[in-house]
Amino acid sequence: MDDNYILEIKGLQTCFYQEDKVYYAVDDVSFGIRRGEILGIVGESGCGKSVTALSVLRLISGKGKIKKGAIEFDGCDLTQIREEEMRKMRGRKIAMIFQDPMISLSPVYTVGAQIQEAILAHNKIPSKEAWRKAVEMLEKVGIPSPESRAKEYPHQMSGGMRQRVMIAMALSMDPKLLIADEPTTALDVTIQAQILDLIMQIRKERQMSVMLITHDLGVIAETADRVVVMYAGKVVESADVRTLFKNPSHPYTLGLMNALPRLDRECERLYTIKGTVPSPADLPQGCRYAGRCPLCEERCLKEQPELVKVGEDHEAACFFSKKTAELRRKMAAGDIRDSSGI
Amino acid sequence: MKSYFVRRLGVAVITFFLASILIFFIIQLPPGDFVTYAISQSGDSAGSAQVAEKMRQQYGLDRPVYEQYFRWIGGVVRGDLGYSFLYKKPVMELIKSEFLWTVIITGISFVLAWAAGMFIGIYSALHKYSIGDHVFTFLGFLGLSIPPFFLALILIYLLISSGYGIAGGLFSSQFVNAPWSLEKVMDLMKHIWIPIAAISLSNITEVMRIMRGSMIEVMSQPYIMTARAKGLKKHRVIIRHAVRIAMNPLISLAGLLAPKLISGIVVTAVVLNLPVMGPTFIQALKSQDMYLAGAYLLLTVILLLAGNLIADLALGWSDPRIRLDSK
Repeated sequence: MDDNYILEIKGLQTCFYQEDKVYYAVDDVSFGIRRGEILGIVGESGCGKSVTALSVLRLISGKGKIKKGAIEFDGCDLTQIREEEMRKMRGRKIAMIFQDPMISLSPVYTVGAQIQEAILAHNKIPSKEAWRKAVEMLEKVGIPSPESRAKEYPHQMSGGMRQRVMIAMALSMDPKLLIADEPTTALDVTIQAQILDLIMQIRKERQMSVMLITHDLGVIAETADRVVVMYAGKVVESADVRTLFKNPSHPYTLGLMNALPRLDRECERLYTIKGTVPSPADLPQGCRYAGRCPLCEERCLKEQPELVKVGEDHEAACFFSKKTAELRRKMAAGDIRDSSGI
Repeated sequence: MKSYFVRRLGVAVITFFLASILIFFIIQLPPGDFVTYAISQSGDSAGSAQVAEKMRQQYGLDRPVYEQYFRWIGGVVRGDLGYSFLYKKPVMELIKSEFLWTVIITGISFVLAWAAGMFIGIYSALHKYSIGDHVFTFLGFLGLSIPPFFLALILIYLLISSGYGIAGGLFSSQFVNAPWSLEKVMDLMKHIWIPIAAISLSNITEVMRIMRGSMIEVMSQPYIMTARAKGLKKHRVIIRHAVRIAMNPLISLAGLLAPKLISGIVVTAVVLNLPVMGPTFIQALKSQDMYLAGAYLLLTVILLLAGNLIADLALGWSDPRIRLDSK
């Protein structure tokens, strides 16, 4: 294992069983997070981002199961350790914050008590001391008058405040890796920026690694060091953030970028990617993006493209990654409005 | 919180008096009164008009209805529930021990039913669609469809055919009027489990189904994921985070069930020949013994109001969101 990486996911396959069908939510996904970096994972709803994150914490519940693969965290394979060992990892080594802070905190305990509980789950210290630590954490994440705020219930706080509480809770154990699953999606734009700033500032202070899951390329551009693009349970491209935006090598990444509204150009309608994501119960034999891809050829329908190196620290899973670059130039020039025009 | 409590208490008192008026008039609704009943029982119809007149005067039944009501409710407020024509005793004296036995038997049954129902509900929710869950669901619907008195009949049948020798009552005949002793307590134990089993078994289902549904819903909430993600032990996530919130619908249900402490045993008590309030109440209704019947209904109303009040307070304690809204 490369010591530069805090987390390496290798060939992860997580599926859900329903009646006699098997849904592959995450299918042979591999990527790593380096120490101290913010790795963005981007993709649309249902592409397996969140399932990947939950697999890391082994919090897939109900009918889901990690079927294959290894998740190496700091030298140990999380898929192999006992449940009690895993529990000790959660919160202490790997912390997670969730999408909707309005419902991610228990409504019946004060926020202070909830942070205190997290601290006490991993430390044998007097509860008063844990409370002091909880108040201290609230102060660190920028909550004014933390002493009295700690005694409030989640419903007495705004969405932004609650997400700060979630972050305070996640940081209370000084974890090595923070998984943030759409941390700003449920917040309004000004609060979004504040929360992202907070995450970046903490990362800097503590040399913590962050897995930032989002569907928002804007958030990625602002915060991430490297990016993994996922589509229908697979990684389709990974690169550092500059390379990805400058030189996208998978048609899906390109499609996502073109779908972003731009202020510097007039257009009547936003670009859309035609078609829909294939159902995880009924995945095509070849490339999963083939049905929506402007570059699709016969080979794409039969063979699954592997993730291959296309440049320095840049991988893409497409047979025609060179052609993609050409397509990008055309689109940038405004010649093509949507993918059907090719 | 305090002003909320005072307001709720005020509403409860007003409701109590409105209910008492309703009760009084409903008892008066059937044609005739206790006097007609008594005379029809004695079989002496000739020259009875005079006797009837005298009795009515004696019992105050010749007064206008509203006057009767005020005399009755005035007594109730002072703790005097009136006089039973049928048993020729003050109602209070009559129902005191019966009330005690009723509350003991149904109280124990309910505690058992709730403990078992909650436990099974939680188990079923955590093992959704497992064999155990299916078995409990099946038994639950069976329990829900069998009324407790029928369960009591089945128990009697089983006990007699197996030679247990006890199939009703609370004491063997030699102990009924004996002073309390260890033997009497032992004898009581041999009897009392039968009604407790019948009543608790038929009450488990409702609790179990509500707990199961509520628990399944709560377990899928994001805050449960948060609790797990912060590394809490599994039992702590379940008890402190899930059960704590999943219990809330049961708290409201408990308030509504309080009157069942009396009414839940009526028919079962007749079947098992228990010295509780049920059989007396039915007799009181049949013979138009109005104050006795009224006392029974009033107690039920009081239990309902008290149960709801306590449930509301308990909910406020349990869920801070409710606490704030009601300020």
